[in-house]
Amino acid sequence: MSSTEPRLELEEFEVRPRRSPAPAVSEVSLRLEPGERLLVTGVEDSGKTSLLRGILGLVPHGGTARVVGALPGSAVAKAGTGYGPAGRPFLSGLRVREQVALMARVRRIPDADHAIDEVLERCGLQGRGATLVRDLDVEGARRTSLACAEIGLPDLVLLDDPWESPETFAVLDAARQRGAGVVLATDQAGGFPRAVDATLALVDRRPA
Amino acid sequence: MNSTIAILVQADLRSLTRARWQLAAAGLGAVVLLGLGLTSDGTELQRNAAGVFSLGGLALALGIGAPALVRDLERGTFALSASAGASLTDLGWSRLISRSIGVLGVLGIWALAAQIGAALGGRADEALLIHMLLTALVFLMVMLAAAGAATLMGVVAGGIFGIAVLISAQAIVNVKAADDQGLLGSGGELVQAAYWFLPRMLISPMIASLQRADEGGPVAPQFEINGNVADIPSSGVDSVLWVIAWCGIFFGLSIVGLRRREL
Repeated sequence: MSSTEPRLELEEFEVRPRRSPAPAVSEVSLRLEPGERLLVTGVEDSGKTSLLRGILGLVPHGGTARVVGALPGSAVAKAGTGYGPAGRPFLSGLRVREQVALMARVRRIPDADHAIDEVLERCGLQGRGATLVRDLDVEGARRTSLACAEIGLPDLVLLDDPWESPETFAVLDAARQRGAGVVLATDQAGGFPRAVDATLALVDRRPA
Repeated sequence: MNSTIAILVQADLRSLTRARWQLAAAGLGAVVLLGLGLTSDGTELQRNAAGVFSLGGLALALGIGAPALVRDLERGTFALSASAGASLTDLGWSRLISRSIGVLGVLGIWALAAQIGAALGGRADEALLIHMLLTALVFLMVMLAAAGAATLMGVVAGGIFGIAVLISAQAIVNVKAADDQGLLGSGGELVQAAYWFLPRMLISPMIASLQRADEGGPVAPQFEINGNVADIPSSGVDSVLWVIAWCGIFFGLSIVGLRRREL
């Protein structure tokens, strides 16, 4: 995509799970330019994760959306977006390096071995590549999630409940330098507001 | 198979081979069957090994099958792979392929262990090997049935459905045999129709022989109806193909069930 094209554009965006009578999140309009960073805050169940999943095209959505210049869920959008989920939804029998390699291989990232080495180091996982993901502590899981999102240096990075660590801030800086957009979603903003360009607060599943 | 499915199969198989309970089950079953092969022979070996294989195989099929799709769907593992470009169909196919390999792999190890034990204890038992191979195919069907049902009803109900498929498969074979021998008072047409519709149990020549001699024990009790003992014949090639077809049907239904779910 071009270096000036918005990384994310949402207009009256809503996420509506198939069997849900009400939207999981609605009325979201925003524009994320290259290098910009957005913090999405809100209490638990306020719609943060649903918003990220809607942007990824994993759940049905309404309104207008362009993700790295393409429709959410399209091959172009998926190829250009990195996702770091909350929790530890990894394949439990894989090692850290194998989990990140799985993401790299599914995303068809060229020179994957080099990219994996590089991202493990940047996420503070050097020396932990052989650890089984099920044996990771919370911090290790958050770092692995960060590596899953950052592998291949995508144009848009979505981080759900990221760990407030020097490595996360370094990833945010690196994303800005390469012109990638970043969306962080968390219920504990901590020091993130100082590292972002804008904040979107969700209350009752819509912008406050 | 597209390359995304191949990538996902490889990763899931790697993960599966490190699942502690499955490693323990594979090892324990192999040791028990090896021991049985070493310490018994003839009818006693066949009866006991078939019993261990049936109980262990059912637990394995349900343990691997029922959570195969639904657990990682609900944990967000599938969403993570989908975010990278895998489709739900890719995820379903890959997961069912890897779990099928997992079930057949462990059952294959058990069958091999029994044969090694028997060979070390005297001589290999070909009839037992054929029985185990046929039973493994039935458990593959049960695993796929449980995986598919779980996408609609949850893991526990999926497991119960898998057991129900096994029971119904055995029942239809028994009742069909009884009807063929004129032991049913009525309802024969219904039984014959159901036989050509429902999944079937595969009866190995070994089990048929044990049953006929009333030496099958709990694993192959004689089937009595209206006071008469029905002779359950061993399955033919048509039944083997029928079970393979049902594996395909449950595989397809599992994919449909998964695609109805949301990531």
